[in-house]
Amino acid sequence: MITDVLIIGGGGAGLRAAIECKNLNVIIAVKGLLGKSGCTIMAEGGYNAVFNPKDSFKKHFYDTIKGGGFINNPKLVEILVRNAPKELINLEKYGAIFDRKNGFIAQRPFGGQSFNRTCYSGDRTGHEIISSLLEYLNKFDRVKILEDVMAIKLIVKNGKCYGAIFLDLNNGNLFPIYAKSTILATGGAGQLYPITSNPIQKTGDGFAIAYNEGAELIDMEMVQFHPTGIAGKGILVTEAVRGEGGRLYNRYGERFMERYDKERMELSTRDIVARAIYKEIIEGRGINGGVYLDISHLPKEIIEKRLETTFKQFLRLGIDIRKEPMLVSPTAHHFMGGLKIDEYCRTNIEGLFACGEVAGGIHGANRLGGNALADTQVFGAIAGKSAKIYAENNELEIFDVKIKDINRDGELNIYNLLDKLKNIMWENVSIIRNKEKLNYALKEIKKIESLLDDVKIFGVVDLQKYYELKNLLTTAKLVCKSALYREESRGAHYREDFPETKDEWRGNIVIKDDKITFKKVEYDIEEYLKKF
Amino acid sequence: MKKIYIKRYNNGKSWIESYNVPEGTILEALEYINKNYNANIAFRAGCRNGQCGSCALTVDGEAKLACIEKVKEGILIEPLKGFRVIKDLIVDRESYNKKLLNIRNYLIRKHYPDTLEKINDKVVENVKELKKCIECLSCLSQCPARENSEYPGATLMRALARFAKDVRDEEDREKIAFFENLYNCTTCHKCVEVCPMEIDLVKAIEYLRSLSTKKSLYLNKHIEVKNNILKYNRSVSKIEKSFLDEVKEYYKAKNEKLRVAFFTGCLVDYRLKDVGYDTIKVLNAHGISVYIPKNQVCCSSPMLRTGFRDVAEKLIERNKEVFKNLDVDYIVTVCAGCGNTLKNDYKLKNVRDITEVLNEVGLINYKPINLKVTYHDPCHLLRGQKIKEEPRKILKSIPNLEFIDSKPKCCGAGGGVRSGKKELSKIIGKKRAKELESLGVDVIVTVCPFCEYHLKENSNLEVLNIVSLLRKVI
Ligand SMILES: Cc1cc2nc3c(=O)[nH]c(=O)nc-3n(C[C@H](O)[C@H](O)[C@H](O)COP(=O)(O)OP(=O)(O)OC[C@H]3O[C@@H](n4cnc5c(N)ncnc54)[C@H](O)[C@@H]3O)c2cc1C
Ligand code: SF4
Ligand code: SF4
Ligand code: FES
Repeated sequence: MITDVLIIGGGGAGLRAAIECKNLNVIIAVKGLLGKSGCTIMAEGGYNAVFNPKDSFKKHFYDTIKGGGFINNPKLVEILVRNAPKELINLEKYGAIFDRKNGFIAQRPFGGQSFNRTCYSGDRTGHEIISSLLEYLNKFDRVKILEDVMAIKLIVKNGKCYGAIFLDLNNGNLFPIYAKSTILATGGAGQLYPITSNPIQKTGDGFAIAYNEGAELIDMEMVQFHPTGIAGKGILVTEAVRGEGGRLYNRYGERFMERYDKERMELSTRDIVARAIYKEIIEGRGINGGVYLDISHLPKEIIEKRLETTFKQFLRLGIDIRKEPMLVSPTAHHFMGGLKIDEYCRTNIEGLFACGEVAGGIHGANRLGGNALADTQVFGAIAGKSAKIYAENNELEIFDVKIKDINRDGELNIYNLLDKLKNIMWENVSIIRNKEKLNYALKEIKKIESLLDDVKIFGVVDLQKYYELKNLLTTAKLVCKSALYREESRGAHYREDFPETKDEWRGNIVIKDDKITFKKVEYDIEEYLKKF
Repeated sequence: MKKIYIKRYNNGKSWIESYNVPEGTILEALEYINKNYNANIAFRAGCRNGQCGSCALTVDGEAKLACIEKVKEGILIEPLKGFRVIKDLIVDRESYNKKLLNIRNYLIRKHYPDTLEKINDKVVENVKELKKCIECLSCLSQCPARENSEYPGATLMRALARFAKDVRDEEDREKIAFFENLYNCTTCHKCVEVCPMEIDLVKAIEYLRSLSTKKSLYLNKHIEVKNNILKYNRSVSKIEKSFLDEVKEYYKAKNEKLRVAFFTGCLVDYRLKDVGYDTIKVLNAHGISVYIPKNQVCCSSPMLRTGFRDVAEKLIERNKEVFKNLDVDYIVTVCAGCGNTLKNDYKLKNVRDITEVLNEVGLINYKPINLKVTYHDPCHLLRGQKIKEEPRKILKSIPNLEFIDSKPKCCGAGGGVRSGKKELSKIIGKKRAKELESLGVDVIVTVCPFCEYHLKENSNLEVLNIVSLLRKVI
């Protein structure tokens, strides 16, 4: 297959990018169903954008940088905050309809923000965004959709990208799509952990296949854990539960947040609450791998109305949260790190653009709730535009690409290896890290990697898992190495052997072809703020 | 561990495999099987949490989400019905995607503002309710209208209603709906039953119908019905003395346990008078006195279901007046459609189906009868009023009667399809009749004159309202 623009990934970022390229030949290739297979459709809380005259870009900028531990790329943040409102208006043009209060856009408070700027559509904001983008895309017949295919390798020659090789998940065939420009919008890698809020597709494919071809990745140690997922499963329990007054208890009935943040208690920042819960569990004060989150003291109606999704979610599990507590634990949620991009979403590989969660640098060391959805739209649009211009000015090149044969007749069960990797990551490279654990994890990851040639592959599903395992191993190594390198604690990255945030570490870890470089962040915030 | 069965399909061949799996969701079971049995079963999933709609499939004949539905002993898992199977549990959604293009599934307007618009909160709420859809396509998989005609299915009508309710949209959505066979829907509510998002799809369809009739887009046959109503206050024409003309106002029971008002409905009044008399006899025999208000009119269901709201309003007003302040415990219906309308559209709290009321006062000792019967669930009783066990209990309590149960399925008579879309109605009716005939019974019992009429026309078997059967055994 050939096309002008190839978009890999059909979440919020990929779909938004496609709209910009509608006048060219576009293929959106998705590992699953279009729109349905990523994180975007699951997002509940909202989309941050400055609309209120009392709010300002300056405030949104500062909140984002502060939340990000002051290592965000300020140019990207500026683009994010300035374009977020425009892109929300675009979403409404595409058919979305955000909640209104007295006719004007409604905005709710969200963690880490100095102003209520999170726009929403009930507790289904991501769904509203995706369904509207899908509706709008119906208009353009040059945008072709290819579902149930997985990109396994980028076609790169002399630092230039010409498309990608795909695995057809229905018949196991490998096939190339050649493109003048390629957009990577595959999202993050929540599936690197056994407990995650992410859908099953999020296996770090984009990170890995780009890294394999020499792409630069930034801040890969920055993995956000949401404090409350359903224990054992990871499915998100929205922050609103604590917002409405939910209390956390350990097995002894102790409201343990008192020991971690007496002031803010359960409403402390995500990283502090996540660490607190994690500690309680690891130190044996949890219950079946979780702690209690209790809301039963609230009036029934509040629970049924304002926390409808959570209420129903638990009812399906046989738990009535009006009467009994939920069991929750931290859950792998978001990758702040990713492909290093510039203001045009260009990567260091020519013809390869990245947007959405697969790209890094925007959110620094920690992402604010509500900023990721805005990110998908703002940078999706930019990546689309850049890819379009690039495709209009470059020629297609078609050449043979060799894919290494896989030995399918080994002994080992891939699924067991996957489980093993996930557990290693959970125990050693998650919420609380130290040198010893990270080194141990790295050693174990390499061990699993050496077993890859000895797996048994019976069919297409196994083959998909094989490639996913490979990508997860690559991503795991990047996370470990970056985490080892950063000898401080900042944002989502917590080293118990280096618990302080240090000024000399205010900077980004960039990894490429197994080489790490540290780039200090030079800009002065006060100076930068004067721009607004 | 539970044993489950899975239908597989590859390259034109299909077969069934069985596996032992631990408790949990079906999605977890499928993952377990692929991990532990090298099975390589192809299936789709995403969010694992009922949010993305990727994982719909068929469990023991019913559309379900794999990530929500729990594993039970002996279940059979198949791909989502009504779609071409690509491999194992993966179906081809292309037919749906194409339809989305046909109905112009995107906001259409001439000018797009470049600032935020002021939009009424209520409009947002209404649109949002219809946008909850996760496109799992469960509602398409078991729709009798889609199965038997060029009808796109409930979620596409939902999509059109969503735009129709969106003040920003300028396209004529009811017109598109009309030409996409809006009137093929039997209002059987199967779609509502299977929808994991609990969207009231039939309400959306009736909303579109009410818009389309305003633009003179309707079926001529429905105008005939409307004219009957305007003339007789009944949906059928008067050909002889009616039931209400003939009966007394009050039939007192010996040892009265309960007193009810009888809501006859159009067919009992004008066409099936025997059912009316049987009702009185049966109620009295159970110790229930029957009061029959003479001024009652059509319940308005035929008008509500086909989009003539204005006509319906008048009937509703009249009936509400007639049945107000009566000295009775309940209003009783022997027609699923009437009961459904009185309960869900009038929102009256004191309405009971005959089978409910009999079970409530207590079934009496019936005389034995040597008959083999099955029961046909009227959609508006089963899904409209959630009444499933009551009629079955009655049938099972009749000595010597051999009861053979059947899986509920629409007969094709409802929603104005019988009057407006004869051909389609007949196809659905014939299929249903065949299923019931294959049970080897003598009689089909039901509690709806419309189903009764329709099944009679399409089958060789005798069809009886439950009261007419009871009449024989009291
Ligand atoms: C439960 C949950 C709630 C959230 N709530 C919020 C919120 O309220 N506000 C907020 O701002 N953010 C929220 N987030 C974060 C936010 O949703 C994500 O960061 C964002 O949606 C990512 O969008 P994306 O387009 O980059 O990737 P995704 O939406 O994840 O899409 C990735 C796409 O890439 C495809 N893909 C992956 N690998 C391949 C491959 N190898 N080949 C082909 N295709 C591939 C996938 O199938 C998918 O279509 C939430 C996240 C989760 C998980
Ligand atoms: S009510 Fe019945 S016929 Fe109408 S759309 Fe739903 S399933 Fe189909
Ligand atoms: S309307 Fe309901 S059943 Fe139909 S596709 Fe949407 S969510 Fe699924
Ligand atoms: S996996 Fe998303 S709805 Fe089931």
